[in-house]
Amino acid sequence: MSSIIADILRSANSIVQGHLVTIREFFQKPVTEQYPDERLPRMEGYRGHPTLLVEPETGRPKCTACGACARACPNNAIELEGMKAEDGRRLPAKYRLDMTRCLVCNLCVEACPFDALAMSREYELVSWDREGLILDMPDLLRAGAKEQGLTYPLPVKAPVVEKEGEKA
Amino acid sequence: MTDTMHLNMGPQHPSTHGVLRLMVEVDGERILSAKPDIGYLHRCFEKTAEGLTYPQVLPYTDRTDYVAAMTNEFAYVLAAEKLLGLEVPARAQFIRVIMAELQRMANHLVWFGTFALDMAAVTPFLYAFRDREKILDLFERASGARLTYSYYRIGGVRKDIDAEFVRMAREFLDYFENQVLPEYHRLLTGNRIFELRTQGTGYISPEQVFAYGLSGPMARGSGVAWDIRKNEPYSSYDRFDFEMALATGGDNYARYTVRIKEMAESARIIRQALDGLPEGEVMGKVPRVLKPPAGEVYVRIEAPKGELGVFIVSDGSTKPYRLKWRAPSFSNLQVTEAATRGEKVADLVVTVGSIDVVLGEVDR
Repeated sequence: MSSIIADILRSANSIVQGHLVTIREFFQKPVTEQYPDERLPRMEGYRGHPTLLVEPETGRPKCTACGACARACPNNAIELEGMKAEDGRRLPAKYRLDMTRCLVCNLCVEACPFDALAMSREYELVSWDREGLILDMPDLLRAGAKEQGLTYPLPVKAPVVEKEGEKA
Repeated sequence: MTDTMHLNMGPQHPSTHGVLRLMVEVDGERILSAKPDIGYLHRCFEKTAEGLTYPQVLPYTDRTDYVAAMTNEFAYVLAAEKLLGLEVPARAQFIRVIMAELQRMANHLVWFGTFALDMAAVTPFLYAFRDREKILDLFERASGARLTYSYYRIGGVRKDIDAEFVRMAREFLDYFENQVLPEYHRLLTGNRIFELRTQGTGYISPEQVFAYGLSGPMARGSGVAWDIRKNEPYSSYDRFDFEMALATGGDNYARYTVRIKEMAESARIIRQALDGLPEGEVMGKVPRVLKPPAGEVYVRIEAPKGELGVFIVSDGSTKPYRLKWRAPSFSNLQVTEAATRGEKVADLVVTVGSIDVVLGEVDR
């Protein structure tokens, strides 16, 4: 009989102990974040989707359409075609990233020999339809320029050299 | 003699931890047999790997056991490095151990939460996810992602960890050891309802451990001292001082104590690794095109769920000829029927929970 009472007391105590833990939480700051009203700061180096970087001087993509990223991609998410610019430099004519296939694995960025790719810091990679997840060259350049602290398309610089001197 | 009833638990059932279907035959409340039916999440991972080059397989390994992506990568890169005969710098080895042990803690936190949730205790689930979030923050800081990290590389790791990471990791370990574990013990360990539900249910004998090829906490909960980190140290595990978490009960409660103890031991390993972190490169010398010689290799590591083995057959080309993934949850799931026969239906949920299955890994 006494062992039953002891057991009941022990059981009751264990539940009281558990409740004491939870009651303490009433007096603490809630850990929940009210997304989307509150947004947590992103960690440095957060990986969003791959983007194309631009040359700040010319506003052209740094990409030379060598295709190393497309070959490195495990899922063939990258499709590109090259062309020759007027000054002889190779540029991408078409660059398509299919985000429905992208694994966000960073292998394309590591494969790029010209450091023309970077991962964005976007995390709201959603769309109402599949077409919205297929990113073309302007989308990727816009996102890439944002990572560089620029806005794409870059304002066309005045071709006259003297203007540079006036500014300085 | 009453008629027996067939009961389908899953694949859409809140307590089957994913798309697992259990075909249960019951006599009243007693279980006569419980057969797992798997394959709902089969994604042809092993076959897909045959069409990919060695570095390209890596992001896919993240997606087998998505609760413990770091250790999957760990097993794969170790296998590929053994095949290629690559050296890994000491700093990268230590970083790999830190990440693997953090991942073990994160995995056991998910397990702890869902295990309690299977017994209708909602609070531990919320607490465990609150604390797991801090580990994910650490991973985000190091790798840039929160679930599928793609952080390990053949020959090292992708990015070095910085002083801020080390500070955050130490802060987390202090918080974990001084606040989280005592809180969990007060919340659940001594709880009488929890004890009644777990003690004596889902018994697995040491003989059954060997018969079913169980590993990890499933084996150690039955008193089988088998931890690959101890028995066959890989990477730099022989440099750390830690104890093997062991319990002899063989029931669900024993597996619970093993996992709780393992989290504390992981914290100890991480502290030692952070203290002894060597300077230097995090990436060894790796050829641009990885073309291993023909041959085969088997590497196993102690993943949070048990023995994770990777078997690669190379035919000398840039792609693996065959890749076999020995998934711990797949092997551990076999024991469901033997562990639950003759028990009550309500205990089936608890026992399946104690196995710690992730269907992404079972089906691959």
